[in-house]
Amino acid sequence: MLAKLLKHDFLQSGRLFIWQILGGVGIGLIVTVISMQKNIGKGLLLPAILLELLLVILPWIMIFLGLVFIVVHVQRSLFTERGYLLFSLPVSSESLLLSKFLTGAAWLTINFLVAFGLYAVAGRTFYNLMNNLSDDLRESIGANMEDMPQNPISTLFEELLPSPKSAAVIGAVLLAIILMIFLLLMMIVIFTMTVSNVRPFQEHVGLWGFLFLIANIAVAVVLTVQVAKVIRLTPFTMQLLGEAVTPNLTLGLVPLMMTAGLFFLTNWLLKRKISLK
Amino acid sequence: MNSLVSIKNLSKSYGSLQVLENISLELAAGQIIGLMGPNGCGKTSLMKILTGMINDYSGEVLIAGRSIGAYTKSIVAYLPDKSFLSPWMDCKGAIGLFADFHANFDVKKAYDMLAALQLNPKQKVKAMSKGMQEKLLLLLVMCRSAQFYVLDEPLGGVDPSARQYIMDTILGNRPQDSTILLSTHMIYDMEQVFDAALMIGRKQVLLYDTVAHLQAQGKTLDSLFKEVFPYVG
Repeated sequence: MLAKLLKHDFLQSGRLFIWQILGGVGIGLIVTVISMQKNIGKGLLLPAILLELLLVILPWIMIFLGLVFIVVHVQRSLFTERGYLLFSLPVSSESLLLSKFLTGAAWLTINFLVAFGLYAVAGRTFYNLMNNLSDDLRESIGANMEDMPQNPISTLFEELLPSPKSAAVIGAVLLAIILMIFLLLMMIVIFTMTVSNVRPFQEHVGLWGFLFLIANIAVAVVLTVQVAKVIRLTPFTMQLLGEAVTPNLTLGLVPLMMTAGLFFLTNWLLKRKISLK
Repeated sequence: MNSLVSIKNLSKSYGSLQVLENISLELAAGQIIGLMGPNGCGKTSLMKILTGMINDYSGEVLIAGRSIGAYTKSIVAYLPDKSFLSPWMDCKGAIGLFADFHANFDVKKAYDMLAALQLNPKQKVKAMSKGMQEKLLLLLVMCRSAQFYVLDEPLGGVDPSARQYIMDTILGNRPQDSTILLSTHMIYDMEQVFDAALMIGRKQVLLYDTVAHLQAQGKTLDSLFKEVFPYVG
């Protein structure tokens, strides 16, 4: 039965995810095609730069929207009229929630992979774009191709991977990201259970929420410290991101705010309409 | 007579509002039972408890000797008073979903009934009228060969010919030994259909008896309802 639930959930939530993933891939392709043009003039430069900027912002939007989509999917399928269908199926409440959890994890992972791929595309296409500018335009904006890495992502890995210490830090960062996804999904599941008809969680909603907020903040802090370590490890990342990321606390505010924002958003979305009670 | 549903000391409240208080009841197998009571008396809550929609209640509820869970959901077919299909879903998808999860779902019968309703299998729920959606939901529920049908106000807000279609569908498709618990306010129209009447109100079971026994006493369900729940103007 779990396999059937997974199939159903994956297809249903895919209706939300597929469009943003296709959108991300589509924008990546458009930027790639534009960056391959020869003698790019002023007319094409502005839209190309705007699309490049979009490529940089898009992965964050995708990750954030991905989490929102999971919350919306859980809320809609369990706590609106559609919940009558799922709760009347001959499966346990635990299977229902496990299916939502695994589906959410799968889509978030796909989302992360596409988002990471978009960064690689952004780095590569920016180099191509500058390289293919008309000579006059390149001179007028002062683009120096010798200082520019052909592919920032591969440069980053080339600089990081030879050192065992760096590999350990990257591993720790990846672990922190995985933990953060896991905890965010757990938070959604726990909130789902607290507002649903699973008895042990119906009481102490606030306590459960608070514990998960604390856990998420802890992971966010670990992530922040590790990211700052990675950035300081290589001359390339220091050159690319400079002093803006040097103080850990400044950098730490972003994931902390994201975590807190997601916590309250999740809470609000899940409690917005509960018709089964 | 064998009992299919056994309820002991069942209480249910929503915050400080108690709707069912310490009720005990045995529902006989093979009967069509009319569930009646004024609005807000706990009819829908009782149905949700029996179908596993809510389980924050106290007391014991057994169906076919088992606690409410995956097994009981496999033998109970539930028609809520709300549409539960996603708007993007089409008839074929809805039938596929029911066939996937319910071993007792008859796919051929579902497509035959769909054709009788002149519904295109590719037609989406959002493109259907409210009446059509209700008929599709009824079709999905009644194509299951269940032991216990829990139907929440299937006749509410429909015209007389649609009402006839709904009753024909229910009576024509239920397995002979199945039990139906049907809530309605159309007591006069349904008296001939019900084998037994269950009236709840004031948090209690106020009446549970066979219709034949009540009629033998010279009473109609309609008059009994007015007697049990007198109008206070």
